[in-house]
Amino acid sequence: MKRFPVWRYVLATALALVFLLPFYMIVRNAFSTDAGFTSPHFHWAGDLFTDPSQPWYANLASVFTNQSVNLAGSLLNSVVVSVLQTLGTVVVSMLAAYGLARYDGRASRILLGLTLFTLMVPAAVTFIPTYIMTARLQWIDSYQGLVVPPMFSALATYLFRSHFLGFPHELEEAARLDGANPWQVFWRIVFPNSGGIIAAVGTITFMGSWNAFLWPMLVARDNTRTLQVSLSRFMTSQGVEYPELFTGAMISLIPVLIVFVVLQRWLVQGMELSGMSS
Amino acid sequence: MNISRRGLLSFAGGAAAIAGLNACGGNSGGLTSGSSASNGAALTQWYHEYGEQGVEAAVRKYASAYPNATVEVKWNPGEYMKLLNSQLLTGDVPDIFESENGATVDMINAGQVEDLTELIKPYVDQFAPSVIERFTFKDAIWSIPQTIDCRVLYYRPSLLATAGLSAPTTLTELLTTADALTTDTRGGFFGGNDGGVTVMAPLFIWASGHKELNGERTELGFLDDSFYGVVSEYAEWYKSGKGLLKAASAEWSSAAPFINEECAMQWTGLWNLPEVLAAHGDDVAVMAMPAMGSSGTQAIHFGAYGSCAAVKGKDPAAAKEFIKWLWIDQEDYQVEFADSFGTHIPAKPALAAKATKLASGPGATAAQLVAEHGFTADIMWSGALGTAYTDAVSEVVVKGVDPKQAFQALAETAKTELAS
Repeated sequence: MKRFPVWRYVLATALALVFLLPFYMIVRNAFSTDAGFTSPHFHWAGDLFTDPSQPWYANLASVFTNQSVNLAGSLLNSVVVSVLQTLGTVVVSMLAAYGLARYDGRASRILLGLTLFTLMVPAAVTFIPTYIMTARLQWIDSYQGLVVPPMFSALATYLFRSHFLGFPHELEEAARLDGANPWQVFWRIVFPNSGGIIAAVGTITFMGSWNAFLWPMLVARDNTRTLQVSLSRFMTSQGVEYPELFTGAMISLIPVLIVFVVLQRWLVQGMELSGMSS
Repeated sequence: MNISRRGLLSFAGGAAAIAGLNACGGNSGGLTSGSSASNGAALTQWYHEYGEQGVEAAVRKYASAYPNATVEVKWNPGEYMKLLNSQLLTGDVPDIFESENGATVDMINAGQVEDLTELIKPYVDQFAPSVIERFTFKDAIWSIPQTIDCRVLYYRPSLLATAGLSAPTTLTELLTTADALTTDTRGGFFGGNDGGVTVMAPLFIWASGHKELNGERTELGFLDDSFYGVVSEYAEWYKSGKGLLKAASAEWSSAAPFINEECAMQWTGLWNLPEVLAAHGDDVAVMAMPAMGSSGTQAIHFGAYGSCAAVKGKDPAAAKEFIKWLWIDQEDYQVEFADSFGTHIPAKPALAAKATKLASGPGATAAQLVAEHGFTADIMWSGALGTAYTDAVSEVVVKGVDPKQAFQALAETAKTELAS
């Protein structure tokens, strides 16, 4: 077995620590008081652990009991929106990509070109028209308003198409010889063998949806406010409540970390399969 | 066509999902949930989220006290102006809304806001002239001022007395005073972790005796040797690194650096006054940014939210009536709104005496300074222009670029922006 030089371990550990430092600071600040956060003397541990006047979980209790922020409700909204958008994006993009990959003709090439063209249009250009359409559909402050407009992703379609172009045709031909129609070929042969790319696109979409701010800020109101929008309540023109903000940020990291840890292997594999990795 | 059980279940599942989403409700802007008016119109009123506890309850109280209509208050966290600008493009707009520094040029040019000139005309002398000037465009007033926020220079008189100094009256004196008050553990002046570039940038224009734009608003109104000299003086001081605190425990908008004694003087908001007084007691004073250059003047940077009535609202006349009732007639509410939840200045200077935090001391000084030396960005000074200008100031101050060269591109940008 080839030995891995010690200096590489040291370097990898040092780099990992550098990358983890921002996450550590989020946790440290989540357990700090406002005075501790703005103290000119830096301490590695949050001062809530050494402050006898209040419990170490004071910020956690504060953000969860703040009625105007409604963190628990916002967490639920974020989960619903992110899961629905991920499912929608994966299904829509996968079906579109399969068609674009398998039906090679002038029309499909034009459609592919148009799909990729949307990647080059800045989001700011389409933002207002999309919002106006959403408002006219009476979808403000609704899950469909949060989920449907951002569900259609040219990037996801492109990634799926790249994967399907490399998918073995022989498997599909064998299924067709057995009498399967294209719909059955897709769902019984192609879909079960595309776990890597589905996990990759799903993870990317979930993270994007979970962290989205501008669209939910416009569309979500009292009934559907997502976590990222609710966290913005700690930042106002009259100041920033840093400890509460970092506590909220720490909480918002947990679901993304879980998704990433569970799907990490598939994510890397999907990147390699789709050609995004060098 | 044969439909398998699996296919039927898949189809039914998809249909159920869409139906489920549709059942989640929705509206066209969160504007339709209010109860109908029992006595007159049903109006909606939008506010941005104020950070102080109690403001939301107070504005809801004002709305419910209005006798001539039912007013539903909508409290909007996040980037309020983006949300507002987007909503005004739809067909379902708030009847009454506040806007930062009054109605914007885009709102006025697009015909989104009502002309409130006739409404305020009999009372216009009661309001701070600098705010009314900012809210006036095309010879009309489009918003009624609600309250004023400002930034001031905090200092501790005891530190100046110990050093045998008096409060600075010019930029040169400010810089030498900051140097003199600097110790091993304390900086002289703090205006942000970018070396004060962002907050000082507009003050370079106003305190040097200039305005952002010329009288016709067709080009920049400050690019001359006097202005270049002021920016260069600050740039030289930035380089010397003696009295300027470039990194502190918080940004300029928080008074933590001044409270923690990381600096002797800090440019920050009047909203921090209660915390500063709690930390330093009577040993606190505020002043305007001193005059800069040979023809400069003192300058205070203020901002004011203004209340507007939407043209596309359900009942613009009723909306205007409510705005007059709340922001012109109800002076008790105006004082409470400015004074009870933070430190703000009533839009009518005469009411400052009724506000406990402004009746004496630094609060009273600030209120007077705003009335006499208040400045805010011109209504035509767009976000793009502001960013380009701050970038140019940063080039001069941080990178040491020659000011004439740094501001050359800005002049061209301004011509294009102002022509469009």
